[in-house]
Amino acid sequence: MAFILIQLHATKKAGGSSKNGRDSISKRLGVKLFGGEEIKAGSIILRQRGSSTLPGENAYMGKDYSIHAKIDGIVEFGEKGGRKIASVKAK
Amino acid sequence: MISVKIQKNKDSKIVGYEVSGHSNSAEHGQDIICASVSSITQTAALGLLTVVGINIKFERDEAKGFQKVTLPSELSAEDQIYSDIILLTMLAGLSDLYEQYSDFIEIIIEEK
Repeated sequence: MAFILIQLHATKKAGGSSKNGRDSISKRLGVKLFGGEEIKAGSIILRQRGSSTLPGENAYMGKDYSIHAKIDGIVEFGEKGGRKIASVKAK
Repeated sequence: MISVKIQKNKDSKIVGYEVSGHSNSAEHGQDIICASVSSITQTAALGLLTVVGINIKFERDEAKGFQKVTLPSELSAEDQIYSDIILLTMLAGLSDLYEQYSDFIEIIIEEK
């Protein structure tokens, strides 16, 4: 029996309007650096739409909600009050 | 939205991951984003299990669209290198996919 279930994370609904062929425009969003990685001051930790992740220690949010490093250091992700936090720990 | 949770230990090594949810980008059987995430993550599990031979704990619920991989707490140095390569490659693939389809995927890095 095959191991990989290719539609493991697809909705089960059958019929209805098909969204087939719809291709979202690449938004270049996303996590650019992961926990534990080194970062330079000013570099982007992550791009996002809206502020689902907030800047923590030694980090700041740009106009477009991107989160940048204030100092050279190590990226740290965590949570505070149920909100995702991206910080930079000094090396 | 497919949620990918990557668990890292204090040494920033990936020690497990959990994928849940449905992409809802198209009907079952035509959902290319679901197929991509499903393939990348289950191939990583397959690699750990059958290529490297690590006794991972693999949980999956097709109805719920859920899978979870947990590595053993003790790994040989060699197995640690191999699992790092497999899991970081998986993460690289998911991140690239995320950048293209961030409406349908979220990646969360959890530090233990």
